[in-house]
Parts: sequence; structure tokens; C-alpha cells
Amino acid sequence: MSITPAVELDAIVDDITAILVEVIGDEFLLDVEVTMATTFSHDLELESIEFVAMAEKLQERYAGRVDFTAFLAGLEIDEILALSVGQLAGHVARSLQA
Amino acid sequence: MAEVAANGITFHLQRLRRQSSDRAPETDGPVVVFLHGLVIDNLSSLYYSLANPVAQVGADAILYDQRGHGLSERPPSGYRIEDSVADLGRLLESLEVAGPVHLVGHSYGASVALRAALAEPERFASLVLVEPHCAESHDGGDWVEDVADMLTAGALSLEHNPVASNLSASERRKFRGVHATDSFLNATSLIEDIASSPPFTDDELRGLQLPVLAIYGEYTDLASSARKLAACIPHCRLEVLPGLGHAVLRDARDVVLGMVESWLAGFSQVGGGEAGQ
Repeated sequence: MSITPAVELDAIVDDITAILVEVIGDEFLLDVEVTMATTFSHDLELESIEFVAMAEKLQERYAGRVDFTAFLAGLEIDEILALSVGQLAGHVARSLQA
Repeated sequence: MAEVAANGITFHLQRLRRQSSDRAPETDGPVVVFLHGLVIDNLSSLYYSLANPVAQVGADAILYDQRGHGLSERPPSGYRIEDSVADLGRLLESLEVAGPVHLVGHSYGASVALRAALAEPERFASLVLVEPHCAESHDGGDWVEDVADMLTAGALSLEHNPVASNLSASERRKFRGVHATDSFLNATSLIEDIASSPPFTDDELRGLQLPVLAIYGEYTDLASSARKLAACIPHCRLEVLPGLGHAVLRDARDVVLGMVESWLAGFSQVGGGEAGQ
């Protein structure tokens, strides 16, 4: 069965949103609708330690098929701070298709 | 979240290793343990800046939230530097880490690394110390006393300015950090324990045979510590970053990372380690 990229990205955004709820609770959903453009630092005000927790849960969720730490190592610090849900979802999608 | 029990404390710990093509963790480099700074700091400040890049070039990078910090357990007492040193030793034993490890410490974490190396030098291969305090006095007075005074002032401020209720979800999240700092400063023995830390003596530093890389900012308040390390430790390389203060990791991450990577690359696994280049 083939899945179109748009559907796959939406599913990944849903996964990321679910993981965010695990890490920081669901209160943020009252303020923010998580879309591809949502940024972790500015829009969601994710603290660094929460980012680490999210990364760990993503590694677990995708059973090692997504190398999150290698992805981050390729980014500058200011790029990490400005990271959007869409950029992360894109990396997950590319990793799963590899 | 990885939890490791050691020395009576449950620690939040992250272990970073490069993934091979078949997604298995692979390591062809040294074990490097990262120690973060005090109070508002936790492992995340070193995770992206130093530990992850170092892991991607082959190191087995271990980071943990020190007792009371981040997601590790926060006991009401036991914040002397000797307690932190014991935590490190028991953690390495719990993880069954064999062989000498490199320590990379930032600020108070670097002081912990230095005290640990003096206590058990055979356990460590080298030290990278980013802005540690080790002098008894600095320009303007005693640094430990100054830090204790600053923490006390912060604690009193938090006690007398309680956070308002009826906040939005976003505001509640922002003040969560304030609450955490408040409980840390006002409900533990941290301040008293830090204030009672024994100084590093010239004699004990002269006896440290490990290779040491010390990194300071040109305008740091800890310039006396920098001079002391360079003068006393036999195999100490001092790097001073021009135009910067205490926050060298924040303000010059790439430079600090380059120094750390070069330092670690200068050691060889074969032969038990040589002085870093």
C-alpha cells in the first residue's frame, strides 16, 4: 500500500503532537494549534530539557529508524532553536522512506 | 527517560552514541562524561552544544542531571562537592563503564570534575574544564561566597514574591521554572553546602598528573582560577577566548566544541592514552 507524502506528514505531525502532550502536558493545546509551521522554541516555548525528552520519545516511537541525534548534530544551535514541527516531520518522513 | 540509580539517588541520564548504517549504536572513540553547571542548569545545556557533536564523531557520550537538577532526584541535603564526586563514581560503576574516561565539565560541573580527578585520578583519562572555580579568592572577593550570596538573594526574592494565580497555560509554564528554582534554593541545603566547599590547594593541584584543558573567557570573573590551574597543574593547557566572559559556552560554542574535539582526537585508545594535542 502506498501512502501519499501529505498524508504521511500529517500522521507524523500527529505523532509529534502526541509526544509533546506526553512531555509537557496538554495545556498548550489551548493556546497553540500544532501545524507544520509551529516552532518548538518560540511557539511552544519548549525548554531544552523538554526537547531532550521529546527526542528520546521520538527515538522510541520510531524504534531506531529515525536518527534524531544525527539530524540535530547537523544543525547549528540557532537552527535547533528555530526548529519547526514541519522540519522535524520532514526528517522523520525521509528516514522512514529510506 | 533513562533513569539510573546510584549513591542512593535516581539520576536522569542520557547516553549518546552514533548510529551505524544498521541503526545499532557504534563507538570507536573514548567514553566522555559531561558535567553541567549549577541550579538552573541541566544536561540539556551540554547535550546539543558539545555532547551530541562529540558522539557523532565516535565518542560514547554520557550526560546526567546532577542531584537536585533537571529531572534527577532532589534530596533535601547532600549538595557538597564531595557528594557530587561520589555520585559520579557510583554512576560509572552502575553503568559498568570500564577504563579511564574523559570528563568535560562546565562551570560548577568543571569544579566537580576537578575534585573527582583529585580524589580518584586512576578513573579518568583527561579533564576538559570550561570556566571552573578553583581559587580561594578572585578579583572582588571570594567567588564561592559571592555565588552563595547571589543564590541566597535569589531565594529570598522568590520567597517574598510568590507567583500569582489565574495565569494562562503559557504563563504557568513560564513560571514553572521559577517554582523549581525556588524549591531548590529554599527547600534544600544547596546554598550552605556550596558555601562550605573546601578550596583547591596549590599542593593538591600540583599532584594532579592528568592532562587538563582549561578554557576561560578573557574577561571572566574567574581569572584567578585560570592562573592557578595553569601555574599548578603540571600538564595543563590554558585556552583564553578573547572578548568573552564566563559564558564562553553560550557565546562561542563552535570554538569550544572545536577545542574539545581536537583535544579528544589527540588521545589514542591504543597505549592507554597520550597527552592531548
